[in-house]
Amino acid sequence: MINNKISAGSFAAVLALSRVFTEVSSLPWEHTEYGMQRFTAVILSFLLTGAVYIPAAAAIKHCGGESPITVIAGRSKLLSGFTGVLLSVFLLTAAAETGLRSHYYASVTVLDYAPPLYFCVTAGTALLFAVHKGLEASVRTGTIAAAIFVLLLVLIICALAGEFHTERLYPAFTDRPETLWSEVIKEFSRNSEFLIFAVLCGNVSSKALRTVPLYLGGSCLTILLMTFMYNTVFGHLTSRLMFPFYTLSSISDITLLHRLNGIDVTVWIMAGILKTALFSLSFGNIVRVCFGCSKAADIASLLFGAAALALSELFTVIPALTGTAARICGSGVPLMCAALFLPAAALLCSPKSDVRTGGAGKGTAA
Amino acid sequence: MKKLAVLLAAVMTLSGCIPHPELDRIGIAEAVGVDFDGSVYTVTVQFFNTDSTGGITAIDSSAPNVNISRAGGKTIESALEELSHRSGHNIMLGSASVIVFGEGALTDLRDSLDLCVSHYSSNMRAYVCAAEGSAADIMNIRFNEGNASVEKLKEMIGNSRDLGMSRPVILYEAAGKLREPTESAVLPLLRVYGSGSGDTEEGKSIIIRGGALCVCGSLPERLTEAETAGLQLLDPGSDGSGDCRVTITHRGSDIRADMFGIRSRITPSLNGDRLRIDVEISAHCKLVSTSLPDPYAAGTDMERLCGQELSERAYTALEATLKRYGADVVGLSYAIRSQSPEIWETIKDDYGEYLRNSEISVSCSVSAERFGLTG
Repeated sequence: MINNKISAGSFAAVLALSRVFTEVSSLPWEHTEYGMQRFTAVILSFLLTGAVYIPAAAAIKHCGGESPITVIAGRSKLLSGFTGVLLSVFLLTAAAETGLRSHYYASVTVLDYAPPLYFCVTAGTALLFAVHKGLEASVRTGTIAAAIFVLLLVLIICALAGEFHTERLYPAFTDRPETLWSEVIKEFSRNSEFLIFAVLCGNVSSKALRTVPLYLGGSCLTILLMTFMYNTVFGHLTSRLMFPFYTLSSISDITLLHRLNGIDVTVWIMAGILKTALFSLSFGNIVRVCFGCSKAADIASLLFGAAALALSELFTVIPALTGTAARICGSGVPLMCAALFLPAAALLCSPKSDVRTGGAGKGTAA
Repeated sequence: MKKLAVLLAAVMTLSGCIPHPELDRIGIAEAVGVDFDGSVYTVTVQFFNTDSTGGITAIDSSAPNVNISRAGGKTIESALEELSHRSGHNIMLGSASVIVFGEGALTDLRDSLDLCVSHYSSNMRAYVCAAEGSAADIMNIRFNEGNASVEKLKEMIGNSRDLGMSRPVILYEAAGKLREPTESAVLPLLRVYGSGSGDTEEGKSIIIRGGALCVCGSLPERLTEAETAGLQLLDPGSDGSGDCRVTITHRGSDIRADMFGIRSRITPSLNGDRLRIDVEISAHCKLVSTSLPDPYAAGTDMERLCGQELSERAYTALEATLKRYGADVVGLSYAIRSQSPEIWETIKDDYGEYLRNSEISVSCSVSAERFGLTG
């Protein structure tokens, strides 16, 4: 179902939405702290993320817009298989984490005491539909969700215009210097969109690399704006709120849409499902390109989605497993491994004769 | 089109298969009262009476517009569960627009409010008030007017704000105040009195008298109306404007004036080892009523007298909270931190004591915008 019709702009919008989703849907052990250090941590983490994209961007440019996995697959079956297995593990972990975030967010906010089955059935059906319709439809839906989020943000800003206490901002870069680095790494490790970009960039119709600055810039500015709102509206209370953005939307009282938390929950559950769908489609692409099984790709995508949801359920019942997975993913090491391995392997596998100039991307799947 | 028809048919026919609560089985909470006797929380809930106005029945104004239920538990949550069990209604907190805490529950108000804030179905914009005595007494009063008894209480809180007598406090704001360094907040204080009028079934009514200063772990302190009025000037809050009405006496004649566009600026500094707080207030005023023969001639005097009145209110409020109890209820710590981080670094570890020993200076400038007798 993969096709080549997505634009860099819409791809960037979807990636930015999924990045902001990770920020909004905190897990029980993640908290947003009040203070100026948060701004510093966000900016530093995005600088680090930008640095991580540089080798990948260089490799993609060197290979004429091809995604790294296509270049690797065209050269060495062994390396291609290894890349496929490595990326599959990373993707599955990231997708399961996304499922866990969506489920936890939905459970606490709207589903309350509803049985887990409700979420699994709803998310599973939507995921099935997204994978069935393919990348173009998923990205289109994601762009709409991103537009709704922007509208929600504007509505919240309008509704709370009089409640931004700018005196709650103070001149400081750090509040707790001993935790700054860990906050930066935690923020950095939330950029699992790198995997989606690395696998699916070949499906961008033109100028795939434009996606990176658009997505990083958009998500960084959005997260900084959200941090500004948390600090100025809630002050010290921020550190006590599990989902500060949900609380912001629930206190936004405007005439027609009295309390915006319903829209908020809809956007984020939609974003969570879309993100899982993008991971599933990425896995389908890996099966198609790295393992050379085009026919099995669609069914593999569906099985991947189901496995991710099942694993996310497992995370909810085995705290030790969840803790270990969170520590590994939160260290930023898997992301760094993928970010270094993929471009290095792609550059290694790209003979000079294959190098084409121009940004026209070729589909990773025919 | 076929797919859409199938989808619509499925939605219309299968939706009944999903378990869902009926409207008359849900207790839509309008107001919640919380009392604590040292070991047990008692929660009293006024919830929408579906047999009276709206709901699933035709309008019946002879029935009370609100039902009242009460239950106890070790925690507020368990008390609410017990209440659901006893009343036969699933209590929904999303529409509760007033939460009242009795004297006993004000001591650990922070924990109680944290519970409300972390409860995602609760209304973050609900007014939070303190009760003189028990919150259950407040909840037991049912106003006959309108579709909901709580509407009248909300109107009272709103009027009190408009007249500059008391500052309304909403849920997330109160929870935030209690997370600031001195862990303190001021809530409007509600008192029951025998009105003798027919606007309630019990012949009693509620009046807002001053405020309750809640400091974590301590018994609440009562603030007078003048003190709470001063706090409204300095920190109007998200549901207030800071506007107020004052009465001044000029040459033996009472003048009522509306104060609006009130702005306050707090400048902290260190005077030796004492914290100095300079407050500058600016405001506009207009006459509401006067018996002066020529109010235009009294313009300058009126500006001066109104300025004096506002300064006194602000000073009284700061003295009652900062100096008497070391309680920062106007967000002073934010001002110090943003304007003078170096002062904050010096005083943050002993902030309450610095507040108690602080020097306060208040100045006010008022300009009479118009002398029209009507708004």
